[in-house]
Amino acid sequence: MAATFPAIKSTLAEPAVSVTSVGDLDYDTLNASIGSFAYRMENIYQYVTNIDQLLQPLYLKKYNKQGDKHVRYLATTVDPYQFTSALSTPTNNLDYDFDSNNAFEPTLLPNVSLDLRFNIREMNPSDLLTRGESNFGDLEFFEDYTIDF
Amino acid sequence: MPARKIILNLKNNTSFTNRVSVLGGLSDENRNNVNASTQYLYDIALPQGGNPPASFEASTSFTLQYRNVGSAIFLTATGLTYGSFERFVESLNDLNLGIFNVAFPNTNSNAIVTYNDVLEFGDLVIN
Repeated sequence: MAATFPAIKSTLAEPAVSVTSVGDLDYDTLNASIGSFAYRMENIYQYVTNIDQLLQPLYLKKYNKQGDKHVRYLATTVDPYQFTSALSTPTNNLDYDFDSNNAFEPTLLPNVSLDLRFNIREMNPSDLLTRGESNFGDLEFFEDYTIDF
Repeated sequence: MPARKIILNLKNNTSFTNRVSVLGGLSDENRNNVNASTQYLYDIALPQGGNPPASFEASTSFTLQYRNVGSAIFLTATGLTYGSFERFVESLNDLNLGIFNVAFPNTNSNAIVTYNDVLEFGDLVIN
């Protein structure tokens, strides 16, 4: 027998999960730039006053060009006797980019404020051009380009 | 000068554990959960409107109504429950309508909660 459950809708006084960018760009602008730019993630630094939050899993989702999803579960650990409030996790070996084919999904405990700093390397298509030419100025650059998708 | 770092502050203002998707770009279907103030909660372990509690062992599929905010007509998304609550939640998240988190509003209740200012959700039917 089917069971029907109506949505209990409520409007909160503030965003349920707020994400703000500390820098020149606000979060929405930064997020919209992904795709035009790609950011290679080299390190994640987390700062939070709740030690349990540092142990929460981070999900790194990758989608390949066929649309298949690969989920990497990044487990963290801290020494419970050190009263650690910050954790730095190198991610160089993960080959993980913010390039619009991926999603970074942290888990947030109730009423927690988490600061994240990603050390990144910015990349864009013009990085492939090494002699200072532009994408449109030197079309011979594409002569040997092979479409593999 | 190329950027060297991205610094974000994430703040969970609710009493539930929440997973969000950040820096996925504009193609990320789950980006609408971020900075959303409209909460949709389905208290699925308690009877609602005279219906029996959801029994996932006997269930096979579910449907979820959704529409863009301001639209008149609900669309329906369908998924499989695979006979368990956990697989049902996974299946719900595979709909690409945002991230649905498990919440426990009280001691004898399992609920599903999501936040979205772009999409509006209607009835959840477990078959």
